[in-house]
This record gives sequence, structure tokens and C-alpha cells, in this order.
Amino acid sequence: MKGLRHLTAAVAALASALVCGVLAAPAAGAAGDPDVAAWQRNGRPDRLVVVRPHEVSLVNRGTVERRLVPPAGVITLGWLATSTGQWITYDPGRPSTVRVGAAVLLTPDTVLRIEESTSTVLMSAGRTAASGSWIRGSRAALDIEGVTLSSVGADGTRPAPADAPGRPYLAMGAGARLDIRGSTIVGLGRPGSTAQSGVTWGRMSTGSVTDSTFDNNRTGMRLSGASGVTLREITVQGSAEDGVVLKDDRSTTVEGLTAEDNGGRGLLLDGGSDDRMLVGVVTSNNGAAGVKAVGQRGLQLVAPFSEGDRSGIELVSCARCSVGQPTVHGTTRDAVRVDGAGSDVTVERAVLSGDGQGAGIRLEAGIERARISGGKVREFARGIAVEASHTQVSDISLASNTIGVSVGGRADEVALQGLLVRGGHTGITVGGGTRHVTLTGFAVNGATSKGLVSASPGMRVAGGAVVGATTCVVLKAQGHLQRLTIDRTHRGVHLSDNVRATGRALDVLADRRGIQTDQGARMDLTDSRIRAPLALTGDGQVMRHGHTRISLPPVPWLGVAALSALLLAVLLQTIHQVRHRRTPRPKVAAHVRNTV
Amino acid sequence: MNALLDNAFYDFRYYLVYLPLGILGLVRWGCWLVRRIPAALYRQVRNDFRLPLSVVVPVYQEDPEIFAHAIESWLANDVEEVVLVIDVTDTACQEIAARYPVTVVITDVPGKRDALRRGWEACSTELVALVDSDTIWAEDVAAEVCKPFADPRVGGVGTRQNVYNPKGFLQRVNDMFLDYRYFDENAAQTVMGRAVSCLSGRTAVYRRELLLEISEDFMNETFMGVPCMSGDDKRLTTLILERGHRTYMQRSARVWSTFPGTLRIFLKQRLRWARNTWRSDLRALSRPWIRRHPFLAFTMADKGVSSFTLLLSPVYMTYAILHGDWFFVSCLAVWWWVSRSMKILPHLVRRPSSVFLVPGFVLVSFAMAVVKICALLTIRRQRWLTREVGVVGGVAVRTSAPPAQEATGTEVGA
Repeated sequence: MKGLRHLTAAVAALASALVCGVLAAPAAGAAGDPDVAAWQRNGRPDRLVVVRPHEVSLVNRGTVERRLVPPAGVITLGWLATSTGQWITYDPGRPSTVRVGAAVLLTPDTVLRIEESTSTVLMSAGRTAASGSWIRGSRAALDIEGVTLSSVGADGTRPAPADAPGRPYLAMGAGARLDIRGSTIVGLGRPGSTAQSGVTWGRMSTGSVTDSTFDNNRTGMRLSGASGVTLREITVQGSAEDGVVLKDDRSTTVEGLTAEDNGGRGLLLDGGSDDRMLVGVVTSNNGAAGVKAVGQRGLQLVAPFSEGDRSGIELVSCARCSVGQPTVHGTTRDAVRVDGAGSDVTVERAVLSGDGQGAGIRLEAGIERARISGGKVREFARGIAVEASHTQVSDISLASNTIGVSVGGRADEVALQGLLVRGGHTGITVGGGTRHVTLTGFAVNGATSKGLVSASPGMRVAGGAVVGATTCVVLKAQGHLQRLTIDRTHRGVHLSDNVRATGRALDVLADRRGIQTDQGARMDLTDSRIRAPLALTGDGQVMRHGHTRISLPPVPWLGVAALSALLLAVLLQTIHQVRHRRTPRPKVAAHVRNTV
Repeated sequence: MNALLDNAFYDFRYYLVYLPLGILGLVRWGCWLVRRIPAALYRQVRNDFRLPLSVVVPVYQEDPEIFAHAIESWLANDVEEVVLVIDVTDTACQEIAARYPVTVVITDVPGKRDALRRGWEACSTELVALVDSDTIWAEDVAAEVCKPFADPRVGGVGTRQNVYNPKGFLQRVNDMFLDYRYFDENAAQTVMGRAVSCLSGRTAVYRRELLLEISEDFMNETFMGVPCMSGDDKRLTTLILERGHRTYMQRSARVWSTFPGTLRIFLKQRLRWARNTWRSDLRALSRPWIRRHPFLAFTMADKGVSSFTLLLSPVYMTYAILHGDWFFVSCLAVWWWVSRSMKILPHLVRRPSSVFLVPGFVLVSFAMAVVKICALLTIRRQRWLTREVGVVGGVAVRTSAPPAQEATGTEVGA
């Protein structure tokens, strides 16, 4: 009996082993057939064309269906179209159009060329991820020239919908090369893995793109750990996500890159090699920043141009980075924003214009150092917003911003030099939490409310002019004013309660009040000139030292002359009226009415 | 450094760009006051002096109703004779004239100058009033215009004119221009030297003997070699002044005349007048006799200069608008309104509602300045512009047959 049970168990085990062996036949075969193994490693597509140096295999759902012998050397898409039956085929009636209905895997040491003889390539999207086509390879080369390469949906839509699970893509991996010249790549990339997001140069791959357009991809193009890629005169547009992503790339050359109408950022730089230079980057109407750089060292952005992007240029944790002659128009957020610990950024000769929102240049708290010099900033809520310490802002013209320059937060050691602020509501504001703020050689013209408002203890002003504001200088904390000219204002300087300030070589010309000191405030004036109907006023004290002069404002001779002329005209008319008061109305026929 | 440079430019705009406009404005106002002060002291001549007076009227394509009203107004003045010199082609006016006790002279020579000459040669009175066929007189014009002739040095007398029943913007503006002229320029010229620069052709009275004396010079006027067709009134006034006689504006003598109501004819008329003024004033300023009338010379030069300076103001306005300097734009606009109102106060006292037309008046003034400059650039051209006559080969000729509709329009008689 016991022997019978052992026999039965043995038979069952044998039978189950047999059943398992039958079911797992393809998998078992992987160990032996490299093409099937490749099929397994590459997502098990419905159809896979494995290109090897001396053999091309067609793997249909894990089974090698056919093996072809390719010509020696470079394999062309045209050869595949004539050799693979329905997998890759010419479009009937259109000999230059090729439909790719299979995934293509380029194994090491192979070269696939897609050239002008197959000028239109339609890559099938399929209804599932497995049925979609793609081209991938490692240590192989893909060369595309003079081609329009587009996805086509299962229902024939071209390009395939952005959310189609089997949307085609191109991805070249380690040691591979991908070159694209004079071509248009349309509608590639599927959701999910970044390697499948459109056209991707993977880790340690290389190649180039010249005179080409990437249209309606998921991510327009992506360099992910690639090395030595050259991007020259390319346009990336209509991407569902970012336009161009350069992540952890090395030695990339960028000359002439246009990114427009992408759903995310126009260009994203994330990590990568130090001391890189990007020239001729143009972004427009992107859904996020035109250019965003993260974790860069020694980045040089030369003359980037952004128009209509949600925000212009963002630099996050970028050390030793510089942006030269950036131009940003029509952004709804910040035109240039610097953020992140360790940031050390220089921005030179920026030309920025907004639509009344955001900041022209925003320097966030926590960055290490920033130097902003030259350029023009207009029509933002804040022309320049500084919350960062160790900041120098110099020689910038700001016009029609609600607030020209705002220094706030805990900013320390902020130097503002040679600024010209025109128009707007308030010229310059300095918050109470700031320290060691200096203003030199500046001018504020025509602010509708206040010229300079400071609550920063110890703020120093040396050389400058505030003209045309309702109140030119408001001090809410201790301050030192030197060589400051104040003109065309109702009130020159206003000291809030208990504020102490010094003024040396001030020249104040106001049409109402020169210096107003509130309760407990004290102003020490040295070698200054105050001209106003009420030169010194308020409940506080104004102490005069040196050659300080107080007087009424000069007579506006031109206005007085004009008024006199008008009065003289009235006087002369009165004389005339008096002399002719007895002149009778003329006698004339009744049909003449203009007789007064 | 750039910012400071920008600031310098900002200051430059205010102090070096806008300030000259203020200074120039004061200079212009100064010139105006030089005229306005004597003008305010003007008084018409009051006496009982009276001389026999004939009325000479060249008639061509006049509106029948206006023409009839005008004849009646002249006859109501108890003048010795009304001589109508009617173009041979104008049968409508001949029929109207036949209804009144007037002398009709039919002429087949086109042109106003010849008609005037024929008229004063046909008269026999000591004084001759040269009148346009659309000009309606008050009942005491003949009596009033004779009074200045009590002074034997006076050779010609002008009247005060207004627009006949003004309707519409352009006619109202014309009325403003006329009041400005008779309460300002002509009044000042009368007070300062009894030398009015132009006795308007709508009604101007001259001693007949002087007309006969200057007849040949009048008929043979040329400018830069081209015979002159229009500008007869300016020419007559200048010839009288040139011979040492005086011209006087008797403001109590009031007449009304029709003026164009369409912009096209308005501009053409102004262009013709501007050419006449340039020719006459430039010639006068180059002759020795003008030294006897320094105030007249001043007003002529001032009028010429103002054509150019007036345009600086809109140029500044445009500059300010382009730079978004709205405070300056507002100030300048208000100044235009107020200052121009002050300058036409005599008219505004008469018609206060015109104050709302002042902005338009200012704009028309700018347009007139442009017209004057165009006129200077085309000063040799001889065309009537509002009538189908012109100078061909040195002779006034009809340039085409007059359209029937235009022949009856009130504007053509202007």
C-alpha cells in the first residue's frame, strides 16, 4: 500500500513536471535563443525585429518566425521594408512611405539608416503597449536624415493620440549613437518611463541633431546621461510635457534651440557637466518656465530669449552660473528667478518685460550670492525682488513696475547701485527684516506714490535723486542719507515715530513740506538745502548743522508768466468792453441772424 | 552708468526738450500782446462826414437768393449807384439784376480783376465800394465807411465781416477766425499807423481817383514772372499803402458773407488766400515803403513765422504721447484750450457756446499752418481753386464749363 502511494506521487510529480515544461517552453527557450531572450528583455512586444550584424530575426510573440541575412554593413529601413513582409512595409502606391508595424531592436555593432529614399516613416502605435512600435539599441547606431518620422494611431490618426499606450518612441542606450539631420519627428513618446518619452539619448550614448524639428512628442527630446551630443538649429514644439530635457548629460553642445508651445518647460537642464555654454536658446509660449536649470555648475546661458512662457528663466541651486543678455517678454510670473541653496548667479544686461504680475528678477532667500547688472526691466508687479543676502544690483533701468525694487525678508548685505526707476506706484522699498542695505547713485523718477520707503535699520543712501513722487523718502527706521536730491514732490522726507536719521548734503525742493518728523523722530541735517513752503514740519526735531539753508521754493517763472498773460488777456478784453459799451447792434434785414 | 545716462536723457526731455516749448509759447504770447494791447484801444471814427458812394460788384455764378438779398441790402444804404459787372455766361444773375434799379455791365472777359476795373471805370462818384456778390450789408454801412475819409490821407476803408447765418463746425470756425481778425490784427494795424494789411474784398471802399491811378499796376501784377489772378484785395490795399495813403478798418460798418461748409472747399479757399498772403507780404517786406509802417511789417513777419512755430506745439504733443508722458499731454491740451480761448475772447463774449468749439478751432489752426506751408512751397501756382478759371499764357481764362450744380452753390461765391 505504502509502495502504491509512492508510485502515485511519483507519477503525479512526473506529470506536473511535464505540464510545466510544455507551458514554459518559450521561456525555457530563452536560455538558448538570444533573439527570444532579447524579446523578453525588451518588454515582450508583439512583433520584434532583432537586427544583428549578420542576421535579422523576426520574433513574433516570443517565437522566432524568420531569420534574414542582411547586406553587410549598414542596414537601411528600405531593406527592412522589402524583407520583413508585413512587419515593416512600403505603403502601397507611395514608394517613399514606409510603415513600421514592429519594434526594432538594434544589437551592438549594427547601424540602421533611415534616409531620404524612405522620406516618410509611419510608426504604428497599436492598441496596447506591446503592439506599439519603437526603435531601441545599445552600442548600435541609428542614423536619420531627410525624413519625416511620425506615429500613426491604430485607427489611422496621425500622429497617434498623446495618451495612446503603445505610442512609438526612439531610445538609444549605452554606447549607442543617434544622429538626426534635416528631419521632422512627430508624435512620439508614451506615458510612463522617461526612456520612452519621445526621442531619448540614454546613458553614455552620443550623437547629434541638426536642422530638425520635434513636434507633438511627449517630451520633445531627452538626453539622459548622454555624452557629447551636438544640438544645432533644432525646433521642439507642441510637446505634451517638457520640450527638451538635458539630464546628467556630458559635453553637450547647444547652438540654436527653439522650444515653443510645449506643455511643460521649454528647456530643462538637470545636472550634467560643469561649465557648459548654451547659445541661442529661444523659448515661447511654454506652459512652465522657458528655461529651467537645476544643479548646474558654471553654466553660461548666452542671450536666451523667452516670449509668452509662463515664467522666463529659473535657476535653482546653480553655482558660478551666468545669464548674459537674457530677453524675456510677456511672462505671467517671474522673468528671471534664482532659488536654492548654494546658488551663485550673475545676470547681465537683461531685457525683461511683463504684464504687471510677478517679478522681473526674483532673488529668493537662501541663495549664496547674486550679481545683477545692466539691462531694462518693465511692467512687473516688482521690477526686482530681493530676499537674498550678499546681493549686488547695479545699473539697471526699471520702468512702469508697480514697485521698482523691493528688498525684503531677511536679506543682508544688499548693495543697490546706479538704478534708475521710472514711473510705477513706489520706487524702492526696503523691508524691516533686512540689514546692511546700501543705495548709491540711484534715481527714482515719477513714482505716483512714494519714491523710497525704508524700514531697514541703518540703511545708507549715498548719492541719488528722487523726483516726482508724492512723498520722496519715507524712513521707518534709522537711516543715513547723503548727497540726495529731492525734487517735484509734495513732501520731501518723512520720518516716522521715533526714527533717527542723518542727512548730509541733501537738496530738497518740495511744493508743500520739506522734511516732516513725527513724534519722537529726529533728523540731523548737515550742509543741506531745504526749499519748501513748510520746510521743516512735524512733532519731531530737525537739528541743523554746517551750512544748512532753509527757504521757500523758487518762483515758477514760466507758470507765473503764463498766468499773467492770461490775466492780461482778460484785462484787455475788459478794457475793450468798457470802451465799446455803447456800440449799438447793427440794423440789418431780418434774415441775417449772426448780428450780436 | 547706463542708468545714470538714462536719467540724464530723462532730464534732457524735461529741461531741454519741453522747456523751449514754454519759452517759445511765451514769445508767441508776447507777440500776440503787442497786437492785442493796441487792438483793445481801437475806436471807430465818429463824425458826420459823407461822400457820394458807388457800389461795384463783379458777379459770377452767385446763389440767386443770396444775390437778391445782397442787392437789396446795398440799395437800402442809399448809395448813389450800384454797378453790377456780370459775366456774359451768367444769365441767371442777369435776370435777377434786371429786377432792381442797378447798372448792369456785361463782360465777356473772365476774371475778377477786369470786372472790378470795368466797374470803377463805369462809376462817377468820389468813393467806390468794391463788394463781393454774396456780401450783405447792414443798413448804415455806406454812412459808416465814409467817416474815416474825413482824413484826406485815408485812401481805403474796410469793414467788419461775419459769416452769414453760420451753420456747422466749419462755418462757426470761420466766424471765429473773422472775429479774431477784426478784433485783433486789423484793429491793431488801424491803431498803430492806420495801415491795415488787407482791406477784404468782400467790402472795401476806396477813393475812385486812386483806383484809376493804380489801375494799370493792379491789372498787370505778376509774381516771379507769373501774372496774378487772385489776391485782388491784398493787391489793391498794398498799392494804396505803397503810394503813401492810409488804410483804415471801420468796425462799426458790418457786413455778412457766405463761407464754405465743406472741408474740401474750405481748404482750397484757405490755400488760395495763403498763397496771396505770402506773395503780397514777401513783396511788401522787400520794398522800401514798408519802413514807413513798422507795425505793419511786424505783423506781416509775425504771421509768416507763426506758420512754422504753431506746428511745433503738435509736434511736442506727439512726442509726449509717444513717450507716454500723460501729465504733459494733459497740461498741453488744457493750455491749448485755455490760451486759445483767451485769444478769441471777443468772439467768446459774443458767442459763449463757441468755447466748446475751441479744441476744434485749435486743430483747424494747426491744419491752417500746414496749408500755409504748402502755399509757400507752391507760391507760383495761379489757380482760383473754387472756380473754373485760371491763368493761361498770362491771361485769365475759363478752365472748363461750370457745372450747373456748382454754379448755384453758395460756396463758389466766396
